[in-house]
This record gives sequence, structure tokens and C-alpha cells, in this order.
Amino acid sequence: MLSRTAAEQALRKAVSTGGDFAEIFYEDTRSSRLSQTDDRIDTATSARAHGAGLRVYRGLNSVYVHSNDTSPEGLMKLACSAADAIGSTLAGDKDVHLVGSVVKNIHGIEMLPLDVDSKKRAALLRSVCRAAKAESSEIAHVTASLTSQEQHVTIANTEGMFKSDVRVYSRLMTQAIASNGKENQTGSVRNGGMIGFELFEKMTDPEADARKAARQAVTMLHADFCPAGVMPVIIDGGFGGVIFHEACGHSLEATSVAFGNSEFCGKMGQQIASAKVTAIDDGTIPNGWGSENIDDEGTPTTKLVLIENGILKNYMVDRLNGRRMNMAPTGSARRQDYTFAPTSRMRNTYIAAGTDDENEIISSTAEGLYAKEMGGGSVNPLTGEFNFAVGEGYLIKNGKIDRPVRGATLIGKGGQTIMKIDRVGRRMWMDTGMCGSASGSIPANVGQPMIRVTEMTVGGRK
Amino acid sequence: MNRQEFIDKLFAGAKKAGIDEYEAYFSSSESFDVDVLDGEIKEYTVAQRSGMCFRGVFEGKMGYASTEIEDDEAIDMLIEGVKNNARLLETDDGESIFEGSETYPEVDTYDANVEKVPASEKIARSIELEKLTKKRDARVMRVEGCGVSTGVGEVRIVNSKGLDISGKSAVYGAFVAPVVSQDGKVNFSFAVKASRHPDDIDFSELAEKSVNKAVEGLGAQSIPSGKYKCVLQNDMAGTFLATFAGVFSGESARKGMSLLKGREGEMIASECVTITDDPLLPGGLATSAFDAEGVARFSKDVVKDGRFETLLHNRVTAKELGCQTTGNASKAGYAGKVTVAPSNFFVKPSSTSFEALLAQVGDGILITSLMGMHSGANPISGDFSLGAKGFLIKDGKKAEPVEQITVAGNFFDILKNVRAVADDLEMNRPGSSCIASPALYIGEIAVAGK
Repeated sequence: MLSRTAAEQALRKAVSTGGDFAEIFYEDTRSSRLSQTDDRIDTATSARAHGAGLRVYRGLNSVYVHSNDTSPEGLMKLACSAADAIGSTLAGDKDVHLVGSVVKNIHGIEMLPLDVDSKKRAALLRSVCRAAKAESSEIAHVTASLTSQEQHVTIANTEGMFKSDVRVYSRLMTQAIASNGKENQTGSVRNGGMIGFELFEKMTDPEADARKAARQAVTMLHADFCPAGVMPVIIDGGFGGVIFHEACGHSLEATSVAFGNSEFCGKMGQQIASAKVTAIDDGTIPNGWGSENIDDEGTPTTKLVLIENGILKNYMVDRLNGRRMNMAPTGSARRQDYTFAPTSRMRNTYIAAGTDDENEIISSTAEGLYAKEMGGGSVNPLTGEFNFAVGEGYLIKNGKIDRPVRGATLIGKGGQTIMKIDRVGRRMWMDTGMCGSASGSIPANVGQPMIRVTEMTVGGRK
Repeated sequence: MNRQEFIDKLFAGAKKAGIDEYEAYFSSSESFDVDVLDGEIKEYTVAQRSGMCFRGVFEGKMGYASTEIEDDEAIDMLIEGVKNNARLLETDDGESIFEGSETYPEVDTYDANVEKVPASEKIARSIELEKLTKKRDARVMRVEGCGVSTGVGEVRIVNSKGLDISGKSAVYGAFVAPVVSQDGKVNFSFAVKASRHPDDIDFSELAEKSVNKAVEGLGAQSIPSGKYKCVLQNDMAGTFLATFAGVFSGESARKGMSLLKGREGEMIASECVTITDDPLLPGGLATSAFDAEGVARFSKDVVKDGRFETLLHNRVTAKELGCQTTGNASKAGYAGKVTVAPSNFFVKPSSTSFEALLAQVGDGILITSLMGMHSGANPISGDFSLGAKGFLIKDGKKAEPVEQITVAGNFFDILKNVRAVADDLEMNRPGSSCIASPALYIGEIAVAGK
């Protein structure tokens, strides 16, 4: 627990040399990971992370210090180190009075994952591995892992904030490897949320997901290499949303925008995407994988329209970059843990459902690529250059899905690609990812309905 | 409670709880990072982190638990954690606690001067580096990131079999990322240099290198799809090797996820390829005297003149695959399970200069940037399809810049197709693994462009 008095004293010290704002992020996290390879549980670990990070601003300068020592003396040591770094002028005592406020929890948890009997958790892994293996004789290996985490945070700052919250996460990942002895291909599925074990018991069918991973691996084992070239690309919903996440989402984060390192700088109110595109970043979805109650600066999370009918409406803004941009924070400040200073990050980010019929999207495409499942990708926000791997792809011929192809990569520039979206389907869904950036690796949902891009460069080996 | 009291109490409690053999792995680090913008501090981070992992054999299985607090509550949590986690395991991999090697090599990984550099000097150096970079060329619009980092780390392994060993290391690094523009076109680059000694960093060389890289890529265009003779520049050859280094892991082999399992003695690469894992490399950024199980480390060739010599092993994977450990036990963070990772891992350089290598190619493509390594490359199958940038090679010389292309192929095919290795090995990336290569001429590759 973070003592309010100790926090007040440390914050007072932190701004004693000219700093104009200071914040403490205190964290106590318990986590466990259980994983199975083929028919045996081969990893079981439990861990407790504990520490505090202290940040001081002076104008646009910022200092971040962190430590495992959260005793009053430890916090004071952090504060002294930060105060020394931010300035040398003694500015005299500023008064800091912390006022506790209650954070409203919008993410109900039924079964705290760390309290669930370990035998029950092991049984879940056993059932998904068995299901994937049974799907085909070509499945050589299956791995499944279950991660459970309870993050207790307290955030205090010189404006008087003193808020505590608990974030409970559960995630199951299954990977199937199909092999013919010479070659291996993989298929994977993931499911998770800011939720308890009820996700696997009551809300989803983990075995059906595992079978899907197995089918994807087998399909790809029999697939030919993808031809290379420029062609129309249809990207299915769910994890397909990673395209928006990489190609545009990162470039709309204040981390990039505040420094002019984004192709979308200075474009507020302008058309940056096809009129078919409305894109949203929403931290308020109950039990969403990327949701929160408050962000890691204590600001309540929000539902933010990024792009409306192609027009740029909002950037994702954290407190420090908000100062640089003269914009209010949007509840988007996030960090992996106390070892990272927070910055603006995506939460649950998706292209909203449109009006096009999914069957028509395919039947009206003479030749192209249908990316049913996407792999990961990355982007350079400065130039918008992105790349994605296609996990499960098919060629389209004469408006029909033809044969599966493997090894396809999609590349392009974000700004150009979102202008070329000419179809947006009716059914939107999301999938879970881990997003890595300046403030570490954090849970984030991606999502979209089926979309079509009129032309993209497809990398392949043929 | 001090460290020794904590160990004594923990070990006494473990013995009482019926844990047969056990080990405490302590890791602590202190780091300093400063990033400047327009002559002022943009970010400044001072960090202290220490954590410990406790593992022990209970009812025949090795359980793990870890903590960042060392108090009485943690002792109970660690002992219960080890017991509960051991009970859950269904594998019988014979993981055990190591009594220690007979002797340990001397390594030089800690230069006390790294810790002595005052913060003010590191800030001044960063500001100077930014200035040097901006001054270098009128096309430098701004510097996206620029700074100096220092870090000191310490690892100690104490166990019930009498081993008590520790090692300390320090690293000093600097980086700069300029953004350049000309005629409305923008490009960027990134240059980094890290060393065990603070005096090894040449700031003006770093500025020059980063600006040259950014400027020469201005005005890049896509090229037609097709097959091109290809050279991977040294840093990209290193990135490429790092992406697929997992195929040399005994851990992957044990799980059936390495296509190299059981193929020791076979020719898997062109005769000009030798790949070495050398944890004792003087000045190496991944140099250390002992691995994560406490085994004394030594150098070995993984591939010699194209022949596959050995996988990398820890004591568990070696035992299961019937060989000796190669001293490559590793942990991803202090809390992680013992696994396998390379140390200083590199393709042996030849005496051919980079320019002579390009001359051998005649016409082709030079790759200087690869994107999507974590998504477009399959470390199990070796297949890759990656976003790339680079230059055309014309008449044996670097020519026009190229962007918006992908390159695709298979790692195992590339190994066999290497036609020449250059002499320009640079080992720059700090970490528990430092993977690098000289430039490689890898024969033909499939390029998707316009």
C-alpha cells in the first residue's frame, strides 16, 4: 500500500527545485503463467512485481525515476533524485494535499483468475491442446498458455489526486504446428480480457478456437507460396484490424504527433481516410482487453472517435504531450509497469461497422488476395511505412475464393492505404494483441469488419 | 532484512518444507538514460530494479516463484509458490540444481569508470551529439531522438549445493536518430553504439554515420518485382541472423520446433559460413563467465565451414538430447524459467571488403533496412517475407535508393546460398545475446515492388 502521507512528502520534495508537476505511480502486481506443450504442463510460474515510479515536469522537460523500494524513505530517495535532475533552483515548499477519490469499476469480475484452483486452470490447457491435436493427424505440436494477472495501482500527483484501481487480466493463447516432416506451418488463436476465468468457462469456447488454430496450420502446410505484386486486398474482420492499428493508430498517438513525427500532423479536420472509414479508440468497453477504468496517469478512460467518415477528429493524448500540443489528455496514457513512464497509447481500436455486404465484397473482386487471418506487423509513424504478415491467405479469382497461399506480406504507407479502402463490411469484431512501443508492452484490442483496399503491394516468393 | 538474512531464512524454510534442492537467483540493475531535444532534456530516467527468483525440486519437479520484495511474506510466497508450481508440472525433464564448475574464466565486463561519469557530463554529451548531427548536413530537419545511456547489472546465484557465484557488468551507449528532408521527401535513420568502456564512443562518427544513412536514402522509389542478386548490409545480416537464431536452440529442438534437430554433421550452409558463439569475447556486450545455471562458459562454433556442429544447450536440453551443455542457459528476465540463448553470436568475417563484395554482385540489390521481423518471419519454418529498403547495385557499386519493396525466401535456403562474406563485423547491440554478422552476398532473392 502507498501511504498518503509518504506520497505527499515525496511529491512536495519532487517539486522543490522548480518542477511544476509531479506524480507517483505505485504498483503491486501478482501474476501467474501456466503453459502446456503437447500433452504435458511444462511451465508453471508465479511472480510478484512491486515498485513505484516518480515523474516530475518542468515545462516540457520531464524526469522519470523508479525503484522497488516503496518505503517512505525509498520514495523520498526517488523524489530527491528527480528533484536534483529537474532543476537546481530552490523554489520553496509547495503545498500538496492528496484527496482520495473512488474509482468506479466498470469491469465486473466473477472469478478472480489467481484464486481459481490450479487444477481447473491445468484442465483448460489440457482440453485445448487435446482439441487442436485431434483436429488433424498433421498437427505435430500444440502449445497453449494461460496468463493471469492482478495489477494493483495507486496514482498520486501534486494536483491532489490519490486514486487506486485494480486491473485483472486473463489471456489464453494456443498455437498449433502442422508438419510434414520437412516443413512446419503454424496457426494461432488468442482470447483475453480485463476479466476473470469466467471468460473461458462461460463466455467462449476455447476448444473450438483451438481447432481453428489447427485448421489454419494445416491449410498453410498445403498452401503454395503467394505471388508477389500489386493487387486488391480484402482483409477480414477481427485481428485484421491490426492494419489500422499499425498503419494509422500509432501515427495518431501524441507520442508521434507532438514532435512532428507523424504523417497526420496538422491534419485535424481534414480528410485523411476514405469516407467509408470511421475509426474509434475506446477504453470503456466492459471487460475489453485494452480497457481500463482510469489510465496510468489517473485520467478516466474515454471512447474517442479518431476518424469520422474519413475526417480526422482526435489524437490520443497523454498529459505531457498534451502540454506540447496544447490539448487535453484523452485518458490514453498507458505503461507496461512502474518501470516505464506513461505515454499516449491505443486501447481497443477499431474501424466501425459499415454498410457493405461481405459476400459482395468478395464477388466484386476479380483477382486479388483475401487475408482471412493477419499476423503481426509494425510501422514507422514518421513516414507511415508499415508491414504485416498474412497468417492465413487465399487468392481470389473471378470473384471467388480460390486456393490458399502462404508467406504473404502486405506493405504500404498508412496514409495512402486508408484512402484506398473502398468497402467496409457490416459485422465488426475484435481480437486481442500485445502492443509494443515507447512505454512497453501493453494489452490492446484490434478490430474491424471485412474491408477491401483497392491496391496494396503484396510480398511473396513467386 | 538484509540479503544474507533473507537467504538464510529462505533456505531454512525451504529445507523444512521438504524442497530437496534449491537455488536463489538475484538480479539487480541500475540504469541512466537521457534523451535530448533542441538542446534541452526531453526525457531523463534513473532506474533501480532488483528481483529474485527462487527455484527448487519438490516431489521430483522444479518449481519456480519470484519476487521484487525481500521480506517475510515473500519467503512464504516463494516456498509455497515453488511447491504449488512443481506439483502442477507434468514434464519430467530432470531439471536440477548445479553444484558449480571446477573453474571459471576471467572476464572483463565491469569498468568502474562507467558508473563514475556524472549525469551532467552525459547530458552535455547528448546535447553535443545532437548539435554535431544537425551541423552535419543542411538537410537535417531535426533529431527525433538523441541520448546517452549507462547501465550496471549484477547477477548472483546461490544454491543448496554450495554454489555462490556473482558477476557484474557495465555498459555505456549513445544513440541518435536524425530526420532529413529534401524537396518534400522525408527520411530518417538511427545509429547506435554501445561499449563496456565510456571512452570507446566516437560521437562525431556516430553523427556522421546516422546522417549519411538518412541522406543517402532520400528520394527512394520502388522497383519492379522480380528476382535480384542480393547483399544484406552488415547490420541487417545481423538482424536476420538474430530473427532465426532460435533454430540453433536445444530448447526449440527439444520441443520439436527446430528443423536442425539431429542434423549435427550435415552441411547446412555454404562453405564460406562459420557461425560462432563466443561468451568470452573480449569487450563483448554479451560476455559473461557463467550462464544462468552457473555453468562456466566457453566458445564454440555452431556452424563451421558450412557444417552444422552443435545446437546450443543448457543442462536440461543437453541431457535430453544426449550431449553436454554448451553453457548457454539463459533467463528472459530474472523471473523466467531457465532456457537457452546465444551469447556473442556472429558470422565469422572474411578478408573481403564490403566494396569488393558489391563488385562481385555486379547488378542487384543491397538491403539496408528490414521491417516486420517479429511478424513476417517464421522462426520455425525459416520462411520470411519482410518489408525492406535499400539500394540498387549497378556495375558493382551502390546506386539509387529503393523503398516500398518486400523480400521473401527461407532462412535455410539463404544459409546454403551465401556466396561471399565481407570483413565488416560490428558487435554493437547490448543485451544477454549480442548477435551480429558482416555483410553477406546471399545470391538471388524474390523482391515484390511495383
